[in-house]
Amino acid sequence: MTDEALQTRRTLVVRALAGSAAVTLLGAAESPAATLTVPTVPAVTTTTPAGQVSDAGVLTALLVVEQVSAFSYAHVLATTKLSHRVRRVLRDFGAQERAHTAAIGAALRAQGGSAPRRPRNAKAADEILRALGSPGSLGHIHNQADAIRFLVGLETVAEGAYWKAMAVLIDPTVLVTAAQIMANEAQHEIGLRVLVPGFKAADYAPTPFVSGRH
Amino acid sequence: MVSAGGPVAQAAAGTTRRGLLRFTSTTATGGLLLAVLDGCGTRAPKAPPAGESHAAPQELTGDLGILAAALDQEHEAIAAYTAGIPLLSGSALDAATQFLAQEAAHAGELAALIKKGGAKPAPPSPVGYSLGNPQGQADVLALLHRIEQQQIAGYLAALPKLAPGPIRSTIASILANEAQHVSIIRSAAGLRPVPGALLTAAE
Repeated sequence: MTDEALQTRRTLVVRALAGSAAVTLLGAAESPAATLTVPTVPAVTTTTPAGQVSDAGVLTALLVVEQVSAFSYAHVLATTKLSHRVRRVLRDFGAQERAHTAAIGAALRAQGGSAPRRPRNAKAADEILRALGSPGSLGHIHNQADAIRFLVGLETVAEGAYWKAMAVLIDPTVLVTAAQIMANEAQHEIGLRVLVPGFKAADYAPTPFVSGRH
Repeated sequence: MVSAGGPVAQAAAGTTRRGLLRFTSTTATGGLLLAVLDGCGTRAPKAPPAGESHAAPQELTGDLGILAAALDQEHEAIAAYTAGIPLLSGSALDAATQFLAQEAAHAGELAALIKKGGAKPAPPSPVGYSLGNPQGQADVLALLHRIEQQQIAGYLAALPKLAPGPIRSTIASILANEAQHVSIIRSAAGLRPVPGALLTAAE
């Protein structure tokens, strides 16, 4: 099988598994024969879903989101021509994404879980982003405006993951940490929106109920 | 205690928005809110992603006390924004007007949840809320900052006490919106908008 065929097959697998609640992330990007399974948080339903998935499973899914977020900020900072103002904001938010990764990683270890492999390049990150339902990809960023739009979309993906996690997490300490991070992601979304040229003050906070992309 | 109809509203008397904002008692909040929204063309808030329409009544029974406390916090925030808006201008006015509508949406959702749980949502405090005596934009921003911090503290404390399920997601969605408010208010006040990776009530 050619590299291209392998890549296409892998992409199809990623798409097919998006939305599943598998609890392991295999490092497919570095191993052509591997299957990429991206864990996601189960949907919020009318019935109480607590107990349907372990805190470790939810934290694994959240850690995937944080890892790809941290990678994405670093990638944008390293590869995109940015104004001084935008670069400063992205540097701050990127550092906060790394702090989220550390906090969720520590919570996962405390629950007996182990961290999934981080994305090592943009192509691997884009596969994960696609599986998570991100509206944008690193491969389509050509300038500052593209980067901001991409990161706004990424933040809404993170919001959606945490919004779903709120319904199912059991450990109260983990729950509060996740809520604190979700709120910070919502702040990032606004902090990025105001950087878009033509931003209107009436759009400071687009909705009174932040639930992101889910 | 200074009510929302006290010095803050009185201080608004000299502003150009006096005709729009005439706040005489906490029970006037609803009509006043409509007046503010009509005057500023704010968009209608979107419906919540989960909550009233998703929660089963039996899931709400144990959470009624927490929801009632949250509703009272929202009433206080509505009073603070309503009273403070006349002293604001420019982008701070635009933001606060939008945030007022969002606080009202939060209150509406919480009241609906309480009703669905079989209880009657309480109206705003009849004795008003302690809002101090702001004299200008900086004072109002400090007041709104304090009110948002209180709400954040309340929601963070409430979340682990709520039964697992969609109500938690709804409360978290409100918390995240309050976090956005505090970020913009901090920016308007010349503070770092997003100072920490994990939101705390100290922001």
